[in-house]
Amino acid sequence: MRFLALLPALLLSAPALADNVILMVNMNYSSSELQAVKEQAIARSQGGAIHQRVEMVPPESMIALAEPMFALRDQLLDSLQKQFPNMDSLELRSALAGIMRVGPSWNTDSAVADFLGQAQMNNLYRAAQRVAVAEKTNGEMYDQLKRKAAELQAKGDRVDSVVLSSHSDGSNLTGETANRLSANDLYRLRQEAPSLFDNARNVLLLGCYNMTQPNHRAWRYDLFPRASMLAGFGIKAPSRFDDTSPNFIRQVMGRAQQLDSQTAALGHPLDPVNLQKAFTTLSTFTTAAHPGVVDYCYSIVEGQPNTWKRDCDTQWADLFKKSKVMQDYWSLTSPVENPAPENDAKLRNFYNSLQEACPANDTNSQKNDWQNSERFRVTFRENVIRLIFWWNVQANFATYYASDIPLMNSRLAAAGIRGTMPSLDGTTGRVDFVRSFNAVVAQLHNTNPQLEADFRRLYAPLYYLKGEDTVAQGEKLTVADTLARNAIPFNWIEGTTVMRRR
Amino acid sequence: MKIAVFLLLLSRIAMAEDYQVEVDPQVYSTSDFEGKDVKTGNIPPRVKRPDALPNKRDREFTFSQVPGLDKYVSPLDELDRDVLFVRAKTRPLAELKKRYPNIPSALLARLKKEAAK
Repeated sequence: MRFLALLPALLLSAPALADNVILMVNMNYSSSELQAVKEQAIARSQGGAIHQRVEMVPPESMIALAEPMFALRDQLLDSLQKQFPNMDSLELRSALAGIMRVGPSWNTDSAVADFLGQAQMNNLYRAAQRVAVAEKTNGEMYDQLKRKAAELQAKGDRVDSVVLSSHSDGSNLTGETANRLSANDLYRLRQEAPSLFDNARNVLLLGCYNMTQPNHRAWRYDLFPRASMLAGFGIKAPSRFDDTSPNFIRQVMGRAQQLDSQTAALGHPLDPVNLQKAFTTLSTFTTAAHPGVVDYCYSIVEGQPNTWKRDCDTQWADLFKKSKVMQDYWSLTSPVENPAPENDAKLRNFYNSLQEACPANDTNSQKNDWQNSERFRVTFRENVIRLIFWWNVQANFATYYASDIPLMNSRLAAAGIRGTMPSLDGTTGRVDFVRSFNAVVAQLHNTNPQLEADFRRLYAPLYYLKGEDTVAQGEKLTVADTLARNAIPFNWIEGTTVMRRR
Repeated sequence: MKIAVFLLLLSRIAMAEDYQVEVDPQVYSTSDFEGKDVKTGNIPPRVKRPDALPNKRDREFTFSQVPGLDKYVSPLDELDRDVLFVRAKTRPLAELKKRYPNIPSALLARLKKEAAK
């Protein structure tokens, strides 16, 4: 409720002559959702001194290219499903994606290719190529949004509300073509283009899982701390082809406008019961399939119980699922993603999900094995926090082993090992480090077991990034003891302090 | 969940035929492993490290023992709350004051005291 004190000031702070903009990030080019947002802009402009308009990113002209392509794709999918009723829908979608990418020469499944024929495959391919070429010209979503922020600022416009329409895992946004906006991109934009976030009064998040408790926390506190309303879906969001989605926009944005006006006029918080009623009486907010969640001035209203705070079984199931995706970071054989240098929002969200999940012994699916489930939580938490702070950890490691690393490098050179370990000066990505480590081990394996053992021993803490949750009672706690167990001391995550060499 | 539980430590010591078995007493009895040339003993009890990441319930309980702190920690996410908790347990008050200039010193001092319990 503390935000309410700021709300009237926020609502009245718009420069009188500036246009108010509703920014719609429309990653799947939905014309029906855009139409609903435009209606809200018109409604908000009526009788007011301020004219509102909608600005879309990517450019609105893309809709004319993308919608016919999606329509053709879905029409072909429909015929394929009728022709091949026993084939998995995902396989059919993947076949169409292949045709869109490769063209009429696609022949991974000859039955599908024969059924569609060259002409239809060519039509789909050409439509997809037109969109792909235009998207390449538009550039990355991150760059487009940065450009839009500069353009609006130059005109003296203010972003009054933000609508984000895309598929989502809760924190990263994806479109069905090449459009991507990661949690890290959003976090960087908040730093580099704050005008997109700072004055946003109403925020709609139309992807799945955006408004579950851990995901909502990141949107609210990291991105839109001053918004009067954040609204979206806790679990599954409706398809953009379903009327629910544009109607959700109309109803929820309309209601937010009313509540903002009431709050500004009253100058004190709205009654919680009325606030609850204001949203639960909206038909699109309480559906069983796509229940909404709203955070109005930091008060949470759920369309259905347990939408925001998901039940314990779902939390744990999601956690295991997410941990597989995070393999991209912590794979010890082939990692593909480095932690972001400043603050990795994806890793941070995963860490938060780990801590948010219910105690395992309160969770039906984990009860029988709750000690192991808790062990999983502890282990992953320790790894993830050290990955988040990877850049400090490596610098501390290099300082501590400032004498040992050059010595090891000389031994490797003397043994004829090709390639060297990258310098750990706080700028080496985890991906480079792991690849180099594995390359050295592969050369030493079976040829120089002693040097391999010494090499592994030296770098093991940085390679595994383990923590050390417990110690034997009375044991002395030193950096050396921790490292001897292949673990990384907690204080090595510190941002500014580089620990002394040993 | 396939995480190996650490049940016992088996190590060969100086004499070639002698083995030392260290048993987690919560899982096995040492008598289960006694035999010729085998020395048995219990693994020393393990305790949580002061810089271990906290259990969420313990952390929130500690925060709740510091009146007035909630206002400052409510905007923090799980990660930042855990880091604050570990720092409160392990870092000197002067450092905490520098790192958290918006939290009144008296609250930090009290938090440090509660976290040490």
